[in-house]
Amino acid sequence: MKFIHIYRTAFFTLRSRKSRSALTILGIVIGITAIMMVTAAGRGAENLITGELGGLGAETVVIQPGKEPKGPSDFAQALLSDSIKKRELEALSHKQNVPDAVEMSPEIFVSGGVSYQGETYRATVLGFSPQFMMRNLGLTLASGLVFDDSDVVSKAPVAVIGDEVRRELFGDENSIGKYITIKNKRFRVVGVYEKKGQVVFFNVDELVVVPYTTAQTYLTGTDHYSQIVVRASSAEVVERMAFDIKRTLRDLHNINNPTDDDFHVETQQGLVDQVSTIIGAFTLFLTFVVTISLVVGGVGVMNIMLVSVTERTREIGLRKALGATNRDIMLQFLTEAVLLTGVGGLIGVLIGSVLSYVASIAIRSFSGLEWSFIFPFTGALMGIFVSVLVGLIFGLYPAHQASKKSPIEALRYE
Amino acid sequence: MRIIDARSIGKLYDDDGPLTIALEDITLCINEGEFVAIMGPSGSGKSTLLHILGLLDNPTSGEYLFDNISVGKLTPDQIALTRNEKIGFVFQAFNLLPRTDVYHNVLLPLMYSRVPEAEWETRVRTAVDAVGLTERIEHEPSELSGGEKQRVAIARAIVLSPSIIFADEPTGNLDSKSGEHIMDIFKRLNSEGRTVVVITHDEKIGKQARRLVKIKDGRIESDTAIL
Repeated sequence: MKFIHIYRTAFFTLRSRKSRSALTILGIVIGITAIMMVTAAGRGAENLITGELGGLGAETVVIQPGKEPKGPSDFAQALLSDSIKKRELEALSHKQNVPDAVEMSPEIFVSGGVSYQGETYRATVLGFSPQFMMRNLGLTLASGLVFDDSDVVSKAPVAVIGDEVRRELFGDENSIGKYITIKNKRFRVVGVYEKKGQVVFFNVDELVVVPYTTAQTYLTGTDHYSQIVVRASSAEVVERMAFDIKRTLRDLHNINNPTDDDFHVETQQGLVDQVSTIIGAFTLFLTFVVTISLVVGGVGVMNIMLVSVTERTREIGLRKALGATNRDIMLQFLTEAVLLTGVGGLIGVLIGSVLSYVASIAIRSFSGLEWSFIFPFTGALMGIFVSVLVGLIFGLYPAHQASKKSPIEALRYE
Repeated sequence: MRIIDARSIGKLYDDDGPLTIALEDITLCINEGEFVAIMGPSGSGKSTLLHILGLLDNPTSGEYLFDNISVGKLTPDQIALTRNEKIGFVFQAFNLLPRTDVYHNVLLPLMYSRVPEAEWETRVRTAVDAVGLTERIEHEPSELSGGEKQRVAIARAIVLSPSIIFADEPTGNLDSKSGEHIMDIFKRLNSEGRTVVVITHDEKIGKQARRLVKIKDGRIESDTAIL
């Protein structure tokens, strides 16, 4: 029997049992839909984060205390480490040590609320250079001005605040020149950032930026920095600059072996790579979990195919009596299984794409993230391939059972 | 020309439980153009004999030559091809494909055959015409009467112009009038030169053949020509 007729016979059989065929492939449809959504979400998240990180200026690097975190204990160690202080900042500031650096500022993370006349708001308080932050994140001022180096040197109690902080604490009132309280220390508001929203890991509108010297002296009471951010003259020299920074700090700390580093240097590219790796691994893991549902779907297909083979015992006997070979019968049932799961896969790809597209619109409109829908081409190909494979694997046994039936047994069967 | 040459064939069943002898020492020759009725009470082994003669089953002893070829030496695929090209079956329960119209039911053997696709439609229409169902060609089995269903089955049996037609109780599920009609078709097919072997337990049906072979307890009891 030519394959085209086997295919037509299978197609005709399945079409004449529409509702059963639909129920049979439901598991496959759901499985492939889930795979499509997981891969689309993975691609979307990767695109979003790498896009935003890339937008942060590929020319900046961040120096953090402690060695590069490879596990949870390293993170804890990095948080407790105090290896980056004023001495390190000064060494890095020497032009001959790091010739590519054009700007750098220490950064201090402060926890705690900000209050004004009894109103308290949980803001993100940073000891940092407000100009650097503006250049780095592409921010502008809505009103007032930013403090400068003389305020840093004099440890002036001044602050530049985000739009949300202003709205929560002052409402419609003018905020410039007013005093806000952070950890019992009064700061004069000198500037307000333009409304910007979420930028990667933090919300600019919830920021309060004070001079890092002021933050160290009055807020944290420590002499080390959370990190130092350095900007290179261009993105091309970032790697060279990162090398210079490492060399300078190793010289300063008398470190001969890089594994003994008590600091680490993060480039934006490194961060992008890290995030991509994490998302990739996560997507792979989810895909694996979802693949299990495909196996369950495949078992369902096998189950129904076995029932079908038993039900159609007479048909099998008849076909054999009329001249069908074992191979003809085997191929007919195998084709039915593959056709079922293949169509299930196609439907899954379609539904998964539509749902992912709708989800991307919902994410954009509800969270304000620049989430884009990317059709997961490899996911779609893989989905269809896997569903056909599931049909082949789980159709093989029922098809073999069908082909083994002796024609007289089959004809006698009532 | 001898089409069926069974030499002392026997059939034993020993799958489940005690050994059963279904057929014993059957020697039977049928020439082309004959119209033979094989008769016997139920359990006499006549169906088993038909299955063996129709290449649906193998004997456990003796030798069977179909169309001068020893069946025991054929591969399963060659047996399937022989059934397809040289044998037509008609069953008591019609065995039509449900939800499939007359045209496609009759087409079924052609799909497994070596006949070029271009000839399929003509062959199906000729066969359907021969049993007088041309107006019903687009109907499904559920829309046909019992007699009509059996005529579809006959059309399917003759669509590849086989050398021999085996009919297993072809009138068993029909009223006497439809049964007569079916037997008339077999007689006509035989008069056109086709070999017909009918299995029945019904004396009236058996007498319409030209040769009557009676089976009892797995053995041939008598083999007589009807004048």
